[in-house]
Amino acid sequence: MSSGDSISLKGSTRTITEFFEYSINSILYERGIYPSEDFTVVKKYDLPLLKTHDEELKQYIRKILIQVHKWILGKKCTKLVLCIIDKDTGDVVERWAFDILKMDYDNENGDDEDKDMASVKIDPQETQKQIRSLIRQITASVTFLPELTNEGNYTFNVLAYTDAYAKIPLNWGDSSSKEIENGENVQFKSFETEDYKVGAQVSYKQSR
Amino acid sequence: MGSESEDTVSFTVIENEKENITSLKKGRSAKILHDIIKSKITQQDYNSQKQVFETALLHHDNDTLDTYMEYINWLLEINFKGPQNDILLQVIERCLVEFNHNIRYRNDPRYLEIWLLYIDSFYMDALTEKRDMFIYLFRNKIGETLSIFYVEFSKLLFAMNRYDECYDFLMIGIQNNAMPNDLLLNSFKDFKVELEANGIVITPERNMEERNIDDMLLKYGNIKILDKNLEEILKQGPVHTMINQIRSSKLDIHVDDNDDSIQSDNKLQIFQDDWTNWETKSSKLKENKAIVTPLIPNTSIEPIKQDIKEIVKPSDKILIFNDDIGRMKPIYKTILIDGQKPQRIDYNFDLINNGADEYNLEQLLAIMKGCYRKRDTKRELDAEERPLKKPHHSGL
Repeated sequence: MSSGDSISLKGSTRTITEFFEYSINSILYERGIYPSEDFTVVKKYDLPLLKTHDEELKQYIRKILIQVHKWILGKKCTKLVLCIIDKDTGDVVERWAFDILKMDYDNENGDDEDKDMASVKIDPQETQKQIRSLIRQITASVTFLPELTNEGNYTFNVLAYTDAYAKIPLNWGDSSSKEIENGENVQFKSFETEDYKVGAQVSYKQSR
Repeated sequence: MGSESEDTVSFTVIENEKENITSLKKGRSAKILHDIIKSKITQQDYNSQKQVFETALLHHDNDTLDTYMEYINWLLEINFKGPQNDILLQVIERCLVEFNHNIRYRNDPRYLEIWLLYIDSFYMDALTEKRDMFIYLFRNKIGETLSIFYVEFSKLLFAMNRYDECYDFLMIGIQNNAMPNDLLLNSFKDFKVELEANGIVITPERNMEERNIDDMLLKYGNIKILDKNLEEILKQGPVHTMINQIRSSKLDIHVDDNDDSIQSDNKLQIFQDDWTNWETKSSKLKENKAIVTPLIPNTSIEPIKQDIKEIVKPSDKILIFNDDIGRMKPIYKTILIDGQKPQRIDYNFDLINNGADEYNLEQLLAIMKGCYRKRDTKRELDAEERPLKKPHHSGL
């Protein structure tokens, strides 16, 4: 870890939490989990993105993200998963997983291009660019994802993979990993901050 | 942790083609997409797989409908750029034709699914044709007890603003006790909510209970199918269908003034179409339809800009004819002479006398018509033409 860089860590964490906020909103909109009227266009990462203005949903996402933010800051969270669940059957129909990898540049496994620099500086502009192309990919994935036909009958669940020692608030419970068996997996691009590398993946199953 | 299994596909591979991927209701296999784009599936693989399906169909290995389902799904996946060739259409229609007379499959959800796929994929740009197809299904009692038929049909009718029909068909579905029940009831609820939200009032007929399906058939059956409308079909006389043979009922169709005759069961035989008369789409493929081609990166698809020559624009609005157009008020000349009252000459003095020349009425007429030439007596042979001064006023 580059020497005591708590400022950069805070910055990275904020970038990541913000990314989660926008990607969760985008997914909920794109997949029609909530009615499109509940969303308004905001400009972010130089992209027009949709964000909910439904108070209840906003609060819910906020509550999740505040906790996730704490975990990431404490380097205790390694993965965040957004599951889309069919209310009728309880089946997970889609599973959006975001891996949060700690970047340990002191070891030799840093990226080649960054090796020559003593402490790795990643241009925030570059991070923004990476986030942009990742969100673009997420949005474009509707081309192959199944139509969620049971309209208005889905809900979502957020799972966080944390360290065993992480403090867990009461409103977070243990859960199974809610994997989709025999599903298809698609890996999206990733983005890097100075301390983390965040990747995204979606699993789904073609409806019969 | 990042549990990346072997079959995880990178979206970056697919991304370049993302605009060309036709989405499927049930989703696409990213793996197949990846393999096609990476050319891992060759033409040879394609042909041999196709052969496997064809052979299976030929030998009736398993349930033929199942084979068809697999075949069609495979074709959909493999031709991700949309149905570019007729093979999909041919296979679907082959399947539809094969089972059309089979009562066993009438209410088979798989069979209906293929029908819906067919209507969805090949009639997407023609709502009326789509409705005709649904009515065809309705007349042939395909999907009669399946909610999904009524739900899909009502969605279409709603989109066409045919709210009364939408209501009627949902009611028929409920009367037919179509399964699954809740799907249909939910759809009916949604329909009502939608109506209220849009402030649409429908006038459903009161005696829904008394109404039977046959009446509905008559009501909605009178559409053009095979370019014939109901009356023509009636005139044709008895229509022989397989169903008739099974029922061994009489086929006579009477056209009576008496309304009661409509109730007769025989009458409705006309609604069971003879499949052989049904012209499949592949046989009448429209030559004029533009072929869908994939987008090639960096091509401009906007319309080509036209060279616009400067056109003298007419005035925005077309004038409404009116007797005054082209006419003027009488023109007078007022001569002011000092010390006297002004003198008004009661005709267009300036026109007749423009200072140098004086014209008579014939000359003026010639000037108006543009054929007046001043004769130069001195140089008559010299054909030099001097432009004429145009008269100031066109009227007298």
